[in-house]
Amino acid sequence: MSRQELLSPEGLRIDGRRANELRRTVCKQSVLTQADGSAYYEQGNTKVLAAIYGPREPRLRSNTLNDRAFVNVEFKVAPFSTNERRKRSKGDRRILEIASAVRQTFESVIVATVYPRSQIDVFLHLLQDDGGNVQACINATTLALIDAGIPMTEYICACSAGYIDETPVLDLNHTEESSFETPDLTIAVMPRSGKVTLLQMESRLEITRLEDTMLLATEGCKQIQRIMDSVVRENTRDLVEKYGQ
Amino acid sequence: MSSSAPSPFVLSAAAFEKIAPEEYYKRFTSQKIRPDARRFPAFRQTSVQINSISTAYGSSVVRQGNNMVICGIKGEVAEPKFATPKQGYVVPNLELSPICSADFAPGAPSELAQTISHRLDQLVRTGHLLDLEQLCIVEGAAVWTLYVDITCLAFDGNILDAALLALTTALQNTKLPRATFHEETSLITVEPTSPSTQSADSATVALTVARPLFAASFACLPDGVILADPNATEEKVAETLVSIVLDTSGQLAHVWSHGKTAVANSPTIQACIEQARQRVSELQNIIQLAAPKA
Repeated sequence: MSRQELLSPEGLRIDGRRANELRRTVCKQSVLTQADGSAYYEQGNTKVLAAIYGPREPRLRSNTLNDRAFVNVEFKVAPFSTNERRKRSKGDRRILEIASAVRQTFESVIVATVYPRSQIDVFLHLLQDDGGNVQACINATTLALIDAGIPMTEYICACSAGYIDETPVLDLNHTEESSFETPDLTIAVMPRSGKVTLLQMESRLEITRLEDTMLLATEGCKQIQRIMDSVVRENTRDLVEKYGQ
Repeated sequence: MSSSAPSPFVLSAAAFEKIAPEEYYKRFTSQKIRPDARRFPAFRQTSVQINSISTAYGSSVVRQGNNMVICGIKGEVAEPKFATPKQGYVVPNLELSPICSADFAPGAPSELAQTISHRLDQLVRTGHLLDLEQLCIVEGAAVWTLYVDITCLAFDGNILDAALLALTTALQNTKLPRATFHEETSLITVEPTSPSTQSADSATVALTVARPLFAASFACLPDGVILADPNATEEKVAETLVSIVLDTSGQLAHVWSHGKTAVANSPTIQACIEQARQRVSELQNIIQLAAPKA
């Protein structure tokens, strides 16, 4: 495949964004009727749905923890989500990796000791894939957990960043992500305390550039947090109004 | 305990429903109303949204009360069968994942999901939903296989109606990319479609659905009451479940009836068909509203 020009001479990317610009982000809470908490998260053309069930009785005896809740994350990819149709099984390693990344990220913020001997299920469904799956899943899970009313010490926001030629770029889409030359870094932070809960990087990146890329991604996380925060506030205000009557 | 003595404890409505669901429903049906305030022949509010997934060749989202299903269609080039060299394939599949209800466990597809998938397959095959010859690329060499993946996102009973509506509307709005056959290499190339080029231009071929089919399901309760469009709890207390599939001219395509009683008596079936006919015209209006403005 010939190398595609990812950055135009004017400094614009293939989808017309500037280097430090996020894709259009839309999110919504309480979208599903059956789940205890749910959220829809859309970043550009990547669309994820998250549903929370629980805390409820663990399905398996072996998952019962006497001092805290067991957090179970399952990630599914809709067969029509990618350009090539591919049925991915549940045992697909790529899928398991994303599920475990989400679980490990949230184990540090969920106050699981409040619900001993119970299970919290997080189901993630990728409806359309245009890069940045991990960050979209993490952000969707944060919103859904808040919607389910599960106590968390802080928000978790995730964002990706990379390098094209000499320019650090924020929030990679699928074409940028799948290019061999573009390093792709995903970071999940707690915006208030500034702690990093997940840092994932694939392919090579010069060590002197790591700091820059991380800072840019963290800046992206803060922007996303503002968007998420306004959605949560609006949703809560809505609920208060409804209960107030 | 004598029957005249007043009972010392009072049950909440939710507990009553859990302990004696049949008796709970009888209290409502005797007042000619259902617990969700619907009349017996009323279907839940239904809406359709077209082509919200741009990576699919065609897609639709159907909401029916608390049900929500999403259907996406993707195509692959395949070899036709020897006996039918011009016919392509349509492969419907319904997924009831644990995301849609607390009752579904993760793992292999449930019996219900497999049953509904099979019914949809039957409808495509024997119901003449669409002419499979329009999926032909080169006779005897290459045809399209359309994978119709239906995912349930929220489940509240009567999933067949919602799934079939999603399948029909997604197929009606499917645009196949143009495929070309190269004689010398006998290879097929498919022009890649991107979300931006998918909207009505020469690079795609629109699919025509010759005979759109619509389902209407009913739950028959022990005392002869027929509930249209049963939700999950009504399906559980029903004695017989009847599903009627009709085309737009009101002709029957399929009837399924199963339950505790051997056969639902024929006046019941007749009444169901009559209600299903009304439902079909209702659904046609809903689809018209969802259709993209030309």
